[in-house]
Amino acid sequence: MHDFETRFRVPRAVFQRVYSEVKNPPFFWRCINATGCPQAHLVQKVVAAFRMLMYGEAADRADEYVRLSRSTILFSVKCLVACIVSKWESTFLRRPNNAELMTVLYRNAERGFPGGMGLLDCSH
Amino acid sequence: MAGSYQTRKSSRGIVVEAVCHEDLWIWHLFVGAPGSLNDINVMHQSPLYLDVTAGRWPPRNQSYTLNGTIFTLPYYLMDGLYPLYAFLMFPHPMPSTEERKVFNCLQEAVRKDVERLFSVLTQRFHIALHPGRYRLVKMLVLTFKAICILHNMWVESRREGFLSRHRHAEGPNGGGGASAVDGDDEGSGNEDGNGPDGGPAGGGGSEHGGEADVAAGAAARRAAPGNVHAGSNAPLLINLVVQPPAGGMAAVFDAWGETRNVAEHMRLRADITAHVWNDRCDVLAPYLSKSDSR
Repeated sequence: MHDFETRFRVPRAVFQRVYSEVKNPPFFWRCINATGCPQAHLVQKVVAAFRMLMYGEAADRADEYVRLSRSTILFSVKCLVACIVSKWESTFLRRPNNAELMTVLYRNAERGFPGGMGLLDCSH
Repeated sequence: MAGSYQTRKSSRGIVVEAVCHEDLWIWHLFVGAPGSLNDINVMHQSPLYLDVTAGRWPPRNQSYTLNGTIFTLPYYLMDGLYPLYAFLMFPHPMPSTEERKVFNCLQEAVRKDVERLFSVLTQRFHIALHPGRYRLVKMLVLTFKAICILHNMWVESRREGFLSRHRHAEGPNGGGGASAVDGDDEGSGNEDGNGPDGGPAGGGGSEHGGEADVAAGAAARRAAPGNVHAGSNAPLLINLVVQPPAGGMAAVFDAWGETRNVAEHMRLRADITAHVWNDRCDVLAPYLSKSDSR
């Protein structure tokens, strides 16, 4: 089960979830170009974008793996990032609701800080 | 303007402010402040600070007792270079007494998790190490937000196997809930299942300690794998910015005075220090090795 994670640095559940969501933006649709050949598949673009996010590699590095050009990979990363943020920002980056705040407070009280609702820090 | 993005390490960057929990779930993220700002400046422009000082956050319905005193304002744990506000809690500078030393020890042990968060983020998403790839601050912010969302998804799919969950389950009120759902996420290769409630409140069921909760959670998992339902996790309405404010401007001024009160901060810290000192055997136990706890 961890083979997927060693390659993509992300659990399969997360990848599937993102993958099933990014079918919607038109950039990721597979289209037919002027010569009648099909263009790159969705999986190619998403995998290239994920590799760039996870490994921080150069944009033309994934060319050997998914056979996409540098500009396509860069654009797919931008599309993927925008898609993720617009879809899930309100779900995953939000304040805790009452039940979750209770959980956090309870756990922090267990650790010796009643009333502690989180750990805050800055990183440069 | 480009100079304002120069960090103290002489490279260009932006500052990230995050609030996380023990399992590294990110509860608040503020990214995009120029790199030349220090932590205090970043905090003063973060929406979290603005909400707290305007009284919109946190909800005050939970009171807690420390050393015989009742408080209603929860606080954040942070490191020691912030102003003395009532909603911040940091270690004593230059501790001299044994009580203060114990408090500092525990505070740093607990706060370590947020230091760990940034290391985990950069280890997991290497693009955070090369942030200037797109040369646009807007893209930097978007990319970091996307990274944090993916990180939260990762935590959600894996949190049942975390060590902190086992510790939580062994707690006095933990009940059998958390331990009953352990194990099937790590071992079986079925990674589609998320926590019982499918969301950040996944551990909430274990608090009630009921077997019915666990059964309902398992049923919900079978029915709808892998989705955080926005409906069941609706954020509090208190997050909305109401203009004019609900309690009038007087409420805003009261909150401003209360959350930035230095005397209140000193009282709170003294009481927590006494509380930690009284419970030092229990709360320090997870951080001591066997040889230390004679």
